[in-house]
Amino acid sequence: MKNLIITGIAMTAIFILFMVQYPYILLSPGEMSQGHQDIRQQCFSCHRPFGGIDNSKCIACHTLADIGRDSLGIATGTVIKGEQALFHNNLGKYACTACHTDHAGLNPESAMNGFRHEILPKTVINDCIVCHQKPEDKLHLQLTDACAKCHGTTAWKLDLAFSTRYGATCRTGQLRQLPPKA
Amino acid sequence: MKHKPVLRYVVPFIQWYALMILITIGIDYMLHYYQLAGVGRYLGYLGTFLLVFSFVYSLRKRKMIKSGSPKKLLIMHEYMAWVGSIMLLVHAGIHFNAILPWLAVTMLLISVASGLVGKFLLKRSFERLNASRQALMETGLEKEAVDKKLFFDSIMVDAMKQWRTIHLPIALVFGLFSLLHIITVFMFSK
Repeated sequence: MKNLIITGIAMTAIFILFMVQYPYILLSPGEMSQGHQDIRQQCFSCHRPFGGIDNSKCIACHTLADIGRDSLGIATGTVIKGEQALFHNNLGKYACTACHTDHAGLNPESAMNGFRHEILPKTVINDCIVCHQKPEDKLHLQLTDACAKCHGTTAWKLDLAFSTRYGATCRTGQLRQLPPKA
Repeated sequence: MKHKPVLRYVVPFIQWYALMILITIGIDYMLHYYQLAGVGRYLGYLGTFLLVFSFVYSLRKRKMIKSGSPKKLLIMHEYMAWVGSIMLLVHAGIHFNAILPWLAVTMLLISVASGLVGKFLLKRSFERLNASRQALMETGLEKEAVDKKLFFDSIMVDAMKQWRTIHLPIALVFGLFSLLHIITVFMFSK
């Protein structure tokens, strides 16, 4: 029994050594996203031992004020209301992990979960085109930017009862503009 | 008519092992069907608790605790370890990422196989010692004392001794991998 215990301790020590040398292959629960591939062996770049993932670890590389600047085309001036779309600056009170995770695959989009429109500031939540591109089909071209009149924040599919209140009506193959209310 | 050893020991061994795998697959399927796959995480806690608690038998065998029937505690160890293993297999699921948890699962499967071998070795030992029962009864000992004497004799016969030299290290390695897995999960969880 004594030999067994000594052997067990020795094996554990050797295995812990392997874990320190090769943490990714021994411990990682999934592939890191593309942008985190170069730090995949440095687990403590993101993880605090027994302390979860602190915002400060994420912000060390991803400054809140700059998140989205490249992906939304703000740097190239292709987004109309560029600065307004940088809403992460207002989310300091939330944990980054409330919406973002990793170890979900190379695609950075797969690291996004838990996003809720309710966490957005009012200037952004009521202004859908800050983040969402307005479709360029015949219907949408005749409509204003008041997306909330037809769309909600829980699903894309229209849940719309027919009404002449809106600026256009739809008939099969035909669209016409109603005159404004007198 | 005497049953061949294959029927008496090998077939039941395969049945218990296969049943464990089938129940695991069944529970896993049901959890995914009802979109309750997240429950699998908590089955890790439950399975570990059942396995750890089943080792009350080991404490009794080493006389670290004085109360409890060794025979009943062994039966409890067998069934709780088997059920706990099912919980842990559902918890593991079919995911191939980190190596450490899979080392733990591999050792779990080997431990259960080893345990079942011991179960049927013990059964064989009991049957062989049964012939001594009548002789002991004739010396005037009460049935309970005869059972107790025979039980400890069974587990000490050579085959069981040899089996223990394999089962204990396997269980220890399984325990070490599991412990490291649990510690690292808590270390890196968000």
